[in-house]
Amino acid sequence: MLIPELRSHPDERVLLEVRKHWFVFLVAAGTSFALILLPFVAAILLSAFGPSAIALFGTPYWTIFAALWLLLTFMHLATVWTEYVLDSIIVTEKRVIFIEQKALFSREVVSLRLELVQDVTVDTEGIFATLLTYGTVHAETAGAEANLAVMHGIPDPGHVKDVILQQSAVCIRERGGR
Amino acid sequence: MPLLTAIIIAIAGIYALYGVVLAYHWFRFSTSTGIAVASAAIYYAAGLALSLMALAAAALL
Repeated sequence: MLIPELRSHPDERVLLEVRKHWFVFLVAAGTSFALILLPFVAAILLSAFGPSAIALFGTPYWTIFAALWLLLTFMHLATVWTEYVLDSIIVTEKRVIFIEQKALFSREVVSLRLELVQDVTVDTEGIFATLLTYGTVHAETAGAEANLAVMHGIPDPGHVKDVILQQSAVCIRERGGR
Repeated sequence: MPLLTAIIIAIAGIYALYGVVLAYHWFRFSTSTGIAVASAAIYYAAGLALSLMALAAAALL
């Protein structure tokens, strides 16, 4: 499927496309998961008050409450999923595109021409990021109108950096060197 | 319980309309058709199952 950022250059080959690490989604969805479990945790806690409290949970009223509660928390979870799944870095033959879905109807796209990319930095911080191999990728262009693109939670950021720098070198060679 | 049924239908309606907003994002901005289709299918299947469960429980009252 061609996203708007690639539709204007349909002949451009995509070399690499990466989404954020799954652990980033798990952390972001933590609130949703806690809310989904809340009616069931409440049922367990209230069961300590005796058989009359337990009897409440087989009733249609509890079923209705739980179903409607789950509907609302699913809406929240789906929003978090949408913001996660639409974030990506795309490296094509000529450009590197950083796409960040900040919220519904709020989207930031930074497109850098590869021959102008001067520096790519990778930053891995924290226990989980180190153990699960994900981190932040910064890409910066040279020139008077220097541009900086940043994306957090990228899996195997070293590989992404290598691909960007290798293709940047190819683009510079094709343009006659620098 | 017509009032309870109306509340359930109203919440299910909000859920469905919100799904249209989400589906717009999935199908317009996702680079993978599979992810877009799977997201929409799971979202609406869960919504349908939970709404029917709530309506069935309301019918028992």
